Amino acid sequence: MKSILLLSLPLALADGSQKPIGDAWALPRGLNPALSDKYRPSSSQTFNCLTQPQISLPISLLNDDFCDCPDGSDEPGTSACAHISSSVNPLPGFFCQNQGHVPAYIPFNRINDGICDYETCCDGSDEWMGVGGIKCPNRCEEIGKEARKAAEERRKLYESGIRSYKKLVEKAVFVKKEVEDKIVAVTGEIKRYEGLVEEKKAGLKKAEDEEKLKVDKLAATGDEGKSRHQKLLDYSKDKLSDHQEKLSKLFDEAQRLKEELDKTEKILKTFKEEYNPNFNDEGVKRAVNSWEDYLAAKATEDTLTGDYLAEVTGLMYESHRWEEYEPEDDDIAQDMYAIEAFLPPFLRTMVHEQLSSLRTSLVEYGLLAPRKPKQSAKSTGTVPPHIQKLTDDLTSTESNLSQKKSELTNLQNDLTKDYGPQSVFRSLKDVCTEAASGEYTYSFCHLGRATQKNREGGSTHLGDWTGFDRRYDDEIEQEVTVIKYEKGLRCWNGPERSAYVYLRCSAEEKILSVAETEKCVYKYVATSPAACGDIAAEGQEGIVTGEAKRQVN
Amino acid sequence: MRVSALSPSNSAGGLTILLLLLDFITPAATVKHENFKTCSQSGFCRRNRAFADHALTPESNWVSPYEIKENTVLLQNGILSAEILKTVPGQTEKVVLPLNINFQKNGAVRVTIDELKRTKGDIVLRGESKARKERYNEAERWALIPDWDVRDDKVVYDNQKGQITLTFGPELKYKAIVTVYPFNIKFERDGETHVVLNDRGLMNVEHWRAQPAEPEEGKEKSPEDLDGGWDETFGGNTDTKPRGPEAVSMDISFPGYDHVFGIPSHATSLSLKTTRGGEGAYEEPYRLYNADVFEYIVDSPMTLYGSIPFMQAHRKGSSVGVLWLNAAETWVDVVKEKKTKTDTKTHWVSESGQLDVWVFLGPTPQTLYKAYGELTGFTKMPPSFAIAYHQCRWNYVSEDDVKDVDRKFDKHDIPYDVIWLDIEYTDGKRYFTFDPLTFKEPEKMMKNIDKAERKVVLIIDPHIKNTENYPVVEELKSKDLAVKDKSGDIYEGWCWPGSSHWIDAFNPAAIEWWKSLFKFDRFKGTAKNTYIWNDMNEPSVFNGPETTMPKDNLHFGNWEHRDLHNLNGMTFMNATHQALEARDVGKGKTQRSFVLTRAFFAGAQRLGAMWTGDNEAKWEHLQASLPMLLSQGIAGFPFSGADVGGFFGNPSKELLTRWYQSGIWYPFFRAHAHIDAKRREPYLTGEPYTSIIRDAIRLRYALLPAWYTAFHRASKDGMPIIRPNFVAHPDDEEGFAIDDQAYIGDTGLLVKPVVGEGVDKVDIHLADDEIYYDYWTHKIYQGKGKKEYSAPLEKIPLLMRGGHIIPRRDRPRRSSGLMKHDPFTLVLVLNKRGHAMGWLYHDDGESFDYKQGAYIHRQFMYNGSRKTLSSRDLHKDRAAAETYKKAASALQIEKIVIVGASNSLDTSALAEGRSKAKAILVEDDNGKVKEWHASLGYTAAVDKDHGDVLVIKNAKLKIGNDWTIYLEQVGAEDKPKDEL
Repeated sequence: MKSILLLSLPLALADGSQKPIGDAWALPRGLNPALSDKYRPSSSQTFNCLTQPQISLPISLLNDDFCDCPDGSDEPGTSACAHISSSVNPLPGFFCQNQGHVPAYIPFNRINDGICDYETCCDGSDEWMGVGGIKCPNRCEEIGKEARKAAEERRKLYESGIRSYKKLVEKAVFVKKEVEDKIVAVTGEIKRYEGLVEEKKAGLKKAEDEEKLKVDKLAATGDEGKSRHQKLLDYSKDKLSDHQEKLSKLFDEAQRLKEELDKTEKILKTFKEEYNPNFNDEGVKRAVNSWEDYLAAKATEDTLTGDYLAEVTGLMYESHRWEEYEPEDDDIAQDMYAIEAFLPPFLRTMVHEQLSSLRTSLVEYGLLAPRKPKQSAKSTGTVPPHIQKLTDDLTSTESNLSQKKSELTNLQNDLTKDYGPQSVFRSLKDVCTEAASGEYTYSFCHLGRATQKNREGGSTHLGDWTGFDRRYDDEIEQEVTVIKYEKGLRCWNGPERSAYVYLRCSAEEKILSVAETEKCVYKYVATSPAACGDIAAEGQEGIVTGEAKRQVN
Repeated sequence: MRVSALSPSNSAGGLTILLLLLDFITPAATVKHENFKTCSQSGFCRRNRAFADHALTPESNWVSPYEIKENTVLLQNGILSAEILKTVPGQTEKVVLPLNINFQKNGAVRVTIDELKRTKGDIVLRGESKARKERYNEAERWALIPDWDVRDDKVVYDNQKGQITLTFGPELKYKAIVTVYPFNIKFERDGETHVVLNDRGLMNVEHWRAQPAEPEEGKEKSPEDLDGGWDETFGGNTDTKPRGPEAVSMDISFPGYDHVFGIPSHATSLSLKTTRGGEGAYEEPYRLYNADVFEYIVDSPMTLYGSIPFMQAHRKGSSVGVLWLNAAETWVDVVKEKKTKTDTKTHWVSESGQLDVWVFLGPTPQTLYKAYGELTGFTKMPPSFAIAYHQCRWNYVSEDDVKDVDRKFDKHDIPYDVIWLDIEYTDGKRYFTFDPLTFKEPEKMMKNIDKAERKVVLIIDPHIKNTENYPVVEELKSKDLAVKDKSGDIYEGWCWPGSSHWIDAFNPAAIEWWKSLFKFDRFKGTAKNTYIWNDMNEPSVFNGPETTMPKDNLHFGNWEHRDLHNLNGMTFMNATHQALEARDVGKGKTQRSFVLTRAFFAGAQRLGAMWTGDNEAKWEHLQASLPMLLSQGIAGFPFSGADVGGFFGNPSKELLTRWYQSGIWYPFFRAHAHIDAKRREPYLTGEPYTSIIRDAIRLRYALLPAWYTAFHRASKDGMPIIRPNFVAHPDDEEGFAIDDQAYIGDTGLLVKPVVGEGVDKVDIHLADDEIYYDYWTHKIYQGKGKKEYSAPLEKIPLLMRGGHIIPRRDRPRRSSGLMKHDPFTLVLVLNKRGHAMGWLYHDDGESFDYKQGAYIHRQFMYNGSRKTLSSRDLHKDRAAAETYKKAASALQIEKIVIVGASNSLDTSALAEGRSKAKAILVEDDNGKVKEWHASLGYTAAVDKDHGDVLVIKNAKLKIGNDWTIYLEQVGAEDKPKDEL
């Protein structure tokens, strides 16, 4: 059971309420005139709380600087009900008439707090009590004038922005047509290359068949009386022992490199554990970060089967009982290939890849001096030159074909890609804008990349263009087009960098501000004619309604 | 055909790679233990623990080798002086240790033991050291207030059979019984022994000796060649110890006491755990050695950023305490011996300095804290903004960033008072400069922030960048005001700026210089709303031993850093505090300082606030913060906080929300985040979290009058601002160890923050049979013991104990400064008998005018039987009070809320409409009766488990005046015409 009793005589009227003058009801302080009827006193000089009309209060409690209504509606002109949530209070705030400018609501907790909130209340009516001696003279005339001037400038800016926008859209149509034309051309070229490939494959096959015939003949004639088998056997012996020797060297090298790797990893492990993140040394942080990336990548790679070492060792020290192969047996050539197959192909590549990737990152962070490249051993091919030429020719034709194919795919993808409203960003491709902010210079290129450059000339990749978004720009209180740049350089202990460019309408491409709103997430605010689409769509009306809120610096 | 010839070594190699891989992936995110010493790695701790082990082994038949030379005993002017002789095995000559026992008027006793040879300078230093030869005797200059020495001149002396009995203290209730041989002192109160020094004979004063030569092959080491007594190396740094071994140690027993508290700062329970075996014991002693402990772990006796060597022992009916006044590295072991009663026995070891122990005999927590405060000073009365909400982050990176945060707080209607700038605001970590690119117009920024009466706190650390063209470092060097290394050259170490020098704030000239740096025309860009944060003042030295300074560094007066390490941070804070209070804020006036410090020592409460350093965004760190802050209150430094949200890492939305709901109960309430953490300003969290956080912060703001009153009390008599159960209810034995709930000042508000993930109910311990009302719903909780309280995310478990009056200001403004014209609300929470009492202290919150009496101090009392509420003046100086009353005459009480009105009034008649009530002002200032009556609103209880509420509306009573209100119940027939 809940009841509210109001007893005894009320106190004298506070300054906050105004007595009815004759029949005319003076508007209570802070109330929007549109709501005045709700507060018109009854014949018994009472009014009702707005959302709980069953609660009826004497008119003297209206604006008496004490909160009586549970919904706070008895104090439109004071801060007495400021503790009541805006979801409960039906009044949006204290209504500033702002004659000479635009009327506005100011939150109740700003009333009589000793500050002239001219941004909202240019008439100074929020400080009517004059607490602590504060005086807020009406400044609506000058503020209104300035605002109208600014609005006019904005209108002009929008108009020129829209003109540029329309030109961009026209250009975009043209650019798109170019792409479509290109598709036709590339499709034709692909057909041509397909024919060439077929032709060259046939030529090569023919040449190879002829060559095989020659080799067989040579094998059959023998050499210095030795049998064909014997020769092959000798050859195999030499070759195998040569392979074993080389494998052994390779194995030693692999072991040495593995030890080197272990040692380096240990250094880095200790480095990571013992460095003090408190120092916040960017270089160290980056090094640790790339070390972690390296580890993560390493952990996800297929772990090698544990017995490859055994296999290699086996191959190295295996003794072959050649006498078993002495009898005439034509299969020996096959065996040779079989022996080749014994070499685990992953060994070489595995060790080298790992080491080279580690080395790259070590060099990158200045922990290791770069190594001079060794002269790579020349491959000792035995393919006859004319066949080699034909093969090379085919390969190059095939590669041309696949190039054209991927070009086509790209062009086709391009047509379906989102280039923003009316594909307007097509016309801005590779247009770049940059601006200095703090110790960095920030830039972004339309449909390209966003970058942060430092004074020393170093540059950080903030992300590549991935598309568009619509987001709320809380400064101009409007939803705007946002260009997304993602998958930039990964941050230490953080995500990959990304940048989001919030666009506002203007004829000029210009960065207004850049801030790192979240760790490694950059917010650009920029102007571009490409952002004038919304206003253009709304026409002249859009320019006018946009005026009150939109601001372009 | 595959040959398998697996060699074992190769297989092990493969396995190692795998194991290493696993090892790498595990994130290493805990404290770097290897950076900090354990007792066994600290020579003097290891020795003295071994000494204790030997003495406590029954087979050793240990007798403490200290004896008072009876013919030297002299009692004069409240000081008993004598010589203690230490017998050294194998030596005929005894070591002379001058003893002083100083009796203070308030009953506190100081026992000081020095070393005669050292006082005379009759020793030879090792190496070429320029260090002082005396044992450090200047800790009191910093830790104690200047006029602390108020001697008891009525001490009664008696000497019989080798026992000297000294009767002293208020009404001669205390006794100190000094046994001549073996030397010990028992302290008695009311015929019972409460504190015993050298009870177990663990006292050890390591006298000076020349370093014995290395023993010849096969010969034993000299007994004077102490383990770890000479050069000592840790983590690549060697301490040269010019004076050799010089530790002092003492055991202190508290017979009959089961609980000891204090010796902050440790991330541990309020009631200290044992450290030498027993259930749940720590392996290590509690360590006090101010250090920059990166990512510290909770539930550990490990040292942290600050030290207060004050310990309280408490049992039903009695509280006593000791202050171990020594600023060198200190370790404290705690054991509990259970016989019929439990005795708590402690063992204190410091590396150097005098043996200097203060004993306080209570008998209550209040009297204990008061006596401790009369010695080390009481909490400084802070400027009022300092107890509101602080928004910090490493870093707000530019003026635009600051502007944006400021704007967003207003946009989301979340109050805040202070925005903080961490090290990145500087020009390349040069303090007293602003980054010319990101903070181009700091003056404008200060002005902009000042519009809503908000403040800016800038970080200034003690390391001064060692670089060219930087006037601050040039002056530091040319004026010779920096800390020196062991050979007397300027010390160079590494911190944020890289190579740096450190200001030696022990040097009075350095303080004067420091003051000059903060003048507005010197520190360009600052304004009177600029305040200072002193971080890294342990001091933190990145390349130093244990991340701090070498112990053989030299300070002003050639004292070794070893002697005064734990004071270092406080002296720096002192210099900053003085500098801020020296700034002319116009018309030759000055204003109260606000300085936040990370390092501290006993006495730092006189200078500003502290926080618990670099915690983590983890539930266990949230949980650890309240016991840590309660412990600060015990040790006389209650203006304390923990980083809301957790410094390192990213809190979940739930954790952040719960942390705010806890943080509003920290005396110092600041959110902070690491540079690598995601932004987490409360408006970013999203709904419903942002609204829940907003409500929590607004609750803090509504209760600011109560907080300010609690600060005032702390500044007068040392009562903690937030109080653990045992302080609020000293006889509730079940509640002595409780450290997860707290009482706020004298308001009777009892909060139990939710500190667990997914937790939606808590058990609140009620210490007595009083009525407790839920703050929000007025639901009644009654009966001693645990009560379950439902706490979904949006709810803070908060009770109001019957019998209290809580002052509030209910209008949620943008900042506390903008609340200064707002009216007050009084919440009367009636107890079982219908009574309630409460206090309000108020002043201008910024100037020193309160020292001239410009304040209001009221006591409100509601008498349930007489149904009267009266406001009584507690001002000491009526004339001064009148002046301020005029200035504050616009301040009114708008609303009086009576919770549990039925405990005093016939509210059933009210509810049923048989009766009406009215409030009549029967008298105000000067006893004049005024025609006045206020309207009332009554809300009956929803059921018998809830309290009812009567509200006196729009009371318009002047806050500074004397008045009495009478609540009159009248019959239904008296119904006034305008009744609704």
